[in-house]
Amino acid sequence: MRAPVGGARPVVALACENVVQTFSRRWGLGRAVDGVSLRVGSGEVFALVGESGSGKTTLARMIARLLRPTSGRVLVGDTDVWRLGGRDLAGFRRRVQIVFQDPGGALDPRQTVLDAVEEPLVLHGLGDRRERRRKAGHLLDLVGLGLKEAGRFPHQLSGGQKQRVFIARVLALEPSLVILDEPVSALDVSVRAQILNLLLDLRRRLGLTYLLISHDLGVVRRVAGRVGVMHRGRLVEEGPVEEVWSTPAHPYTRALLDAAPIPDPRRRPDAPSRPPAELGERGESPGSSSCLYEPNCPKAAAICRRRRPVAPDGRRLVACHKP
Amino acid sequence: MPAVDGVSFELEAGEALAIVGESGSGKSATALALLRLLPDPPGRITGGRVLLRGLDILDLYPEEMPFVRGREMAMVFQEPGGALNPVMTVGEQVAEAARARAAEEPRRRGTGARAAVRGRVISALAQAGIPSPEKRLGQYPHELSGGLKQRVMIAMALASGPSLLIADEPTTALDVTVQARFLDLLAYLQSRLGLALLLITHDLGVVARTADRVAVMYAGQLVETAPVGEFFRHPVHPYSLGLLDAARMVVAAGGGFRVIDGSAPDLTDLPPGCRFAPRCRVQRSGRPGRDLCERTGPPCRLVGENHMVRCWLAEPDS
Repeated sequence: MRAPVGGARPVVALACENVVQTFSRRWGLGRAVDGVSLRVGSGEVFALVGESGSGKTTLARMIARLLRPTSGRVLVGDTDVWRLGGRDLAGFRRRVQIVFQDPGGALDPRQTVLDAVEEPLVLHGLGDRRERRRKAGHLLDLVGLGLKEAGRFPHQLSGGQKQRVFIARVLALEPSLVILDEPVSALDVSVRAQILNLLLDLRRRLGLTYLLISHDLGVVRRVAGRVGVMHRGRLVEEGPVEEVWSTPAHPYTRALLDAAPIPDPRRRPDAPSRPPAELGERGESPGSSSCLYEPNCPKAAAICRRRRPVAPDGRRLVACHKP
Repeated sequence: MPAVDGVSFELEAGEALAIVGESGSGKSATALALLRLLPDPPGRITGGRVLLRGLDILDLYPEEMPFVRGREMAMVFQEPGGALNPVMTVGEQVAEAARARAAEEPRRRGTGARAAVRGRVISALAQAGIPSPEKRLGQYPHELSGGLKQRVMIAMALASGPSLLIADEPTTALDVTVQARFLDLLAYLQSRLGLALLLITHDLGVVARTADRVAVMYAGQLVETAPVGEFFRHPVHPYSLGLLDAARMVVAAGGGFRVIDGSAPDLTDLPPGCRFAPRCRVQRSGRPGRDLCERTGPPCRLVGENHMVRCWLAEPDS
């Protein structure tokens, strides 16, 4: 069920090297993504977790060549994504695909299911009409939809069915890397498992590599092989999911894992005797050279205010002075 | 077409009840019905009673509702941004709610009345876990984080001194660390201030952390209600079992996560018997008497103390 742990596999499907994305603020520049480096092995499921504003979606957009990095390199396979042009670029567009959170918003309401799946083939000029139709039919079969659904419009489908259609559409171009941006967050609990099973099955059958973006730590734990934890644009911890979950090293990772609601009432904390304040309500923002998690960190020490920690290279990556 | 069909439950002071269900199950419509906020048309309450401390709310004239809604019972919504007025300060918005209550207190004039309202506003903000509330009074919603906005909503609810707080998916739009603190806040309000809490959610993790009792809705009906510990230990309805499997991400025998097949029925085209029968794993496993499930909707049966299940397969408590 679980994806093999990377590192053992020699082929790198995706690499980011010191990727930075700045945005302008009222005072100077902010960094939405602040020097992220990571490698994802071919066939791996790599998850990016972090809260809103942590930069995970911005990073994904730079990988998909939807947003140019301010600096740094993104490599898919061995090609620099931002140096592509002409025919190579068209090839890249086929090889890297994104599945979005809200399949309803990503499908054209006036297109039938079959047309939606065929459209990418038309746009890329692949095959003649008969071949395309046959391929679209085959893809629908692959994602568990039948002839009955082929002629329907998006509004006639359930959320899960829409996501299946979108997955079929994405697979039409035979990608090698699929970015899954919160692929099941908009779906009902009982349907989530169906779509996750489908995605894992497709990965196995088609040899896909997934970059999974999710705030659902339960899903990440069960689906991903490796995980990167993002906080304020930085990758603060990275490693095999099992290891990160059993021995989280960065205080932020620990805070995230502690906060995830567990479906077991025996693990419920006692009701607090005073109204609990929000995290980070100390009202301080981190200093220009201090660790970005320092204002919230229970273990913050003097060095954390002096120097922003960087992660040493290795199997487990932790950007923290006091792990 | 009944979106909510014969739902009955009780909620005591200081108790937290979670209504769990998926989209279209009728959980939000139930909450709106309690507040008489269902838009009419198309929504109409065609039968039943809503008793709040013995008073049947459905008997009240619409003009009387403002004395109950936002006073005796207050609601917190999923999207705090949309529920706050962007051109009013935090202090003014909470004061609106506080004034209604202050008006019932012995008359005071001028600065005395204003000070009373201000005191109420500040204490409501503090109860909602907002540190140094005086500093927040002059701020506008856009200056606040999502978590703080949600807390201002809570403060508005608290300012009128309600006995019942209804929270509809209050943490869905929040990050996990913010969500955890917010659930702690709800637990504080319920256990320390004695508020009754009606929590509407699809997340069994949130239920496990917050609720005393669980009510599961499916296709407009309650299918199981139980104390929270009992529910997680011995869920009886096949739909509850499926939801718990999904939340725990249980791996099936043949590999892959265990799923509930199919999707919820269309409310305009309900199956004739049990509404869950077409998706029911137990029912389809060739159990004798299964045609009963397909023919006749099951009644509610007690299967244990305070544990009710709407299923033919449930063994009644003797």
